[in-house]
Amino acid sequence: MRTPLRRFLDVGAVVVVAVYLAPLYWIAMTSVKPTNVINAPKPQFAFDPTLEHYHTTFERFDFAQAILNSAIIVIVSTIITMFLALISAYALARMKMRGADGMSLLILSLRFMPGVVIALPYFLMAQWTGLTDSHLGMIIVYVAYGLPFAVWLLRGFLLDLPREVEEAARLDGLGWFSIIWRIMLPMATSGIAVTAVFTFVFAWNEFLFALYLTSYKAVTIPVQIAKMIDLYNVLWGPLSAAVVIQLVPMLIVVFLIQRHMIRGLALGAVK
Amino acid sequence: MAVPGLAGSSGGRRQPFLHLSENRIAYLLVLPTLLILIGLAVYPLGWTVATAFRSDNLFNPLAARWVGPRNFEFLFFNDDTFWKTLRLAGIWCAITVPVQLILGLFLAMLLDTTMRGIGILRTLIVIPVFITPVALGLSWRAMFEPIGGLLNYLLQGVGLEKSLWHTHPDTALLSVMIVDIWQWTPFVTLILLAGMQGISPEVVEAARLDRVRGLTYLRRIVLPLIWPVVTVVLLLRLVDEIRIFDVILIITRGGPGSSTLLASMNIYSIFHAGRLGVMAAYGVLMVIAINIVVISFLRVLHRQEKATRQKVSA
Amino acid sequence: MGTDRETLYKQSMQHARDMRAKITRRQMLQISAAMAAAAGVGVAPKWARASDTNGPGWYTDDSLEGDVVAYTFAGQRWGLPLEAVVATFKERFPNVNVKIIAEPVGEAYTKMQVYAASKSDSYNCAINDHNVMSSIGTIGTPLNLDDWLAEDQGWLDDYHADVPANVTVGYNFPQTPEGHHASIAFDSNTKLMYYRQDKFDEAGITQVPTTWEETIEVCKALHDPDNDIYGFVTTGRRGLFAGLELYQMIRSYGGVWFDENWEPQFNTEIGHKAFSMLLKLMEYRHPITMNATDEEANSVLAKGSAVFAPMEWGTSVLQDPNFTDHHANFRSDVVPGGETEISKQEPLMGGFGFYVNSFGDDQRAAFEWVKHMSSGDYVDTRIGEDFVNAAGQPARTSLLNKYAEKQPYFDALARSIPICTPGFVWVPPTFTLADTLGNDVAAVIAGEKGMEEALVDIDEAQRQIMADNGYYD
Repeated sequence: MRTPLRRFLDVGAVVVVAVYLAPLYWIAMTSVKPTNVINAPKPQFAFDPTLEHYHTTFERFDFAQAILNSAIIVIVSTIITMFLALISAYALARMKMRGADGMSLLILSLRFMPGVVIALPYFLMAQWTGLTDSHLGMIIVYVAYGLPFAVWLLRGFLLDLPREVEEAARLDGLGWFSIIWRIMLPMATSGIAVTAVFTFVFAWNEFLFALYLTSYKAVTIPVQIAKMIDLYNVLWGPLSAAVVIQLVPMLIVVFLIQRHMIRGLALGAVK
Repeated sequence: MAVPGLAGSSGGRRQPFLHLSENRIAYLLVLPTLLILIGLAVYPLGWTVATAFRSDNLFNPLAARWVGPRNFEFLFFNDDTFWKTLRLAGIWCAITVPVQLILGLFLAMLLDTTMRGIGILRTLIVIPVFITPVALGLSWRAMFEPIGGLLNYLLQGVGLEKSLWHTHPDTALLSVMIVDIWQWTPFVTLILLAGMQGISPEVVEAARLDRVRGLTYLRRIVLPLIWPVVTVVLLLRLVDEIRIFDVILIITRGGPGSSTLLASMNIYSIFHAGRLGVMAAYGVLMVIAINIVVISFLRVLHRQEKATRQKVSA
Repeated sequence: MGTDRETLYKQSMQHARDMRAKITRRQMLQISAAMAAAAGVGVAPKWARASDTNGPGWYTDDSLEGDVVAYTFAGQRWGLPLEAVVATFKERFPNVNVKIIAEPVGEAYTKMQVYAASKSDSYNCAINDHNVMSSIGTIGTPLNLDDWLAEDQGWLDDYHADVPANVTVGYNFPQTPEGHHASIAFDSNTKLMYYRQDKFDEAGITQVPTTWEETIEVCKALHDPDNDIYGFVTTGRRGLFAGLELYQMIRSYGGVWFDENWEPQFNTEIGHKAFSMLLKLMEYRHPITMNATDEEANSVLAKGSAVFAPMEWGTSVLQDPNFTDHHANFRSDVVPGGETEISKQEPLMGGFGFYVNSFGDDQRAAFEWVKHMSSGDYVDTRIGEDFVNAAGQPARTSLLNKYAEKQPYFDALARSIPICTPGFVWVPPTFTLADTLGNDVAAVIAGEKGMEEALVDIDEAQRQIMADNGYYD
């Protein structure tokens, strides 16, 4: 099956990915440079590496707490989002539903409001409900923030699936939840995995709501990183170290999900 | 099949679950999502619309008062930046969305292979998406720095002209675009890749036997099959690009002058100055604008989709 | 809207109007000079007398309980120095817990204004710029500290003897000498000139420029773009940054923001002169200048491609050996004035105070914290020492002088503070005024607009903001 062209393209893929990621190499290098080397007149490639910035990131910026907060908020909100999005997307994509089109658009349109405008009303709402600076408040906001997106992505993937298996299941008398859980879920694994990853990513990266709705108990990673920008200098070392630290758990998650995506493909091929 | 609303073919057959019709169950399934979204949207929307007709200063809340449509008049007729920011947002979307799609498709084709270790490659390529724009923007800004930055150092190293990157009005928008495209192309890649993996091996094999290759393969086989996914990716990127914010905030904050002052950035800078009324008016206009753009975009896509399907079946 | 608030608001507006009439800069200088003289006679011997670190104002109270939740800006100048003085505070008040919450500095003004405007009770004391005092004051956020301060007259006298009156008045509400203490100054700053001594020597410049006309010549002499050396850098970013650059120039030439009838004074002879001079300086600018913030400008100064910054906010980073290899060569001095009759060297004032949130809990504990961390040697010599060692920039002149060897720029800061002028206008919508001003200034710097057109637009926009806030009713 492997043609010479494909082999050539495979080598190309490795090269392209390596070049694409070059800026990351620079960030990783910055994280182990002494500060005066970072501020040297020309970019430096040779230096005595130091781990002081990693130390600073954890000691002074309490990064472990930020990682924990981010993990709790993002994981819980992703699970809730995915559950709600899956049943909604199934209804919108595969069930006989009047006005499914309009409904989908309504759901998406609730994400049109620029975050900048709603940050202030969100803050006021959080204050009334006593949810400022709490994990719960952030989870609610991120579920609302991620849902429209997740519904649309999943709906796209579900629309793509062949209809025959589901038909057979219906004829066998399976209920809706059984169909979603036992038939659609395995068939759409790769789509669900991708949707979950990106629901996760959007919450993981989100800055503005986290900035206004948290102050110390529920501070997330992006806000903690923003504290490394001083008015008079940027703490490049700790900042780069923070980027590297926050990437490690993410990479593990994505790598594991990748394997699921391949498994999803294998299951899909059986159909 | 991808046209919403055509799904389901078992007719009005009754299900054992609560003896509800399929239509009702569908609504029940969507209900929690709708409740959460609307519950969190009512107050912000109401607040925004009400504030749009007030002169309300964050730094002087006691002087707030009703002013009628004056904030809108200000934006339309007196504000130097309003029309410019709309134009910039248009340019931004017209460039970043297609470029991300094309680059993303290219990368997806490259990575749609059975090579050993492909899982690692696919993992690595999504790294840019995982870096919070706050940190990513700063790191790129340091690389852009015109005198001592990495990029100009490398450009000079290979004998090219230096660029002023984000520090000059002519190149600032392009510089921020590069960062945005760099960050979000892998997102497009990964979703397209997931779509491509749904293509059954028989189709791929048949195409191989028919010697359908390269662009023809892409255009005739891959694109029609993953079209629903492409639609979704385009739409989601479009919605996010119209409201692009974080990365601009960190790299240029709208400058130099107002050369990177896209819509969300402008709203934020109005908020920063405390002019809540003008900010809300801008927000209202923006929601209307996005609705128009997205709905017309969906129309075009649907028409395109029908045409593609006819071509395939022909 | 409660009537008491309404009255308060009207009063503050009136006070702000009166202020200009009542107190002139000369009077302020006189007050400050008198205070300084008092410091030399009455208070200084007390410090000299203390054999251990405790000063005469030291007392402890283990019956005081509560939590101090202090909002501050993240970073070297605020977050860290405040953390550093917690230890001595705990010695005095062992049953009070202190939680320092550092907010990302870029968005901190807006965020803390949101907290103040919504009457949040999630903190009980917070840092504030004197420029937002009229804003948070009209909302009623800062607690009136007069009664509690009166319990310790010695401390209060020491504070006023040590911090110049033109600074402390900014933390009163209303911001007049008659206003009550609404906030206590603990951090100080002004615009300063930073230059590289080695580059001055190379170019044969023997005197630090004191006027903008001389400054231009210095920029020209230092400028060498072919070798990646630029003669001028400042913060030209839209918003506050660019706005304050122009206002600094206008103050140097003797101009004002508004006249006594709140008519904007930008499209005037002085406005033209100041703006033209700013644009002339821009001919020697480092490329980063057009959209630079303070940290970007400092970064190119640290790297050495920019060598002269005549109006940069005072900071310790440029003389920090960990930050730049050029640290030993960086010198600081007072921002230049103009060369006209009414021109003077008048740097813009920065700096921060700390207030107790009237909507928060445990206000007494918060008050003791505010008092403690803004104390000088009168309470304990370790307070100032810990604060400065953590790169803090104290408001107290005695500390600036005492630690001038450790932080060389303290010398220029101590000379600038008595002659500095409020950064913005002391009215509630002050940030709106400054931000809007800066957008127009940046448009001119970036070549989007002509200077003449911009000055007309600036006056119109400033007038509109004041009209929106009811100043011409």
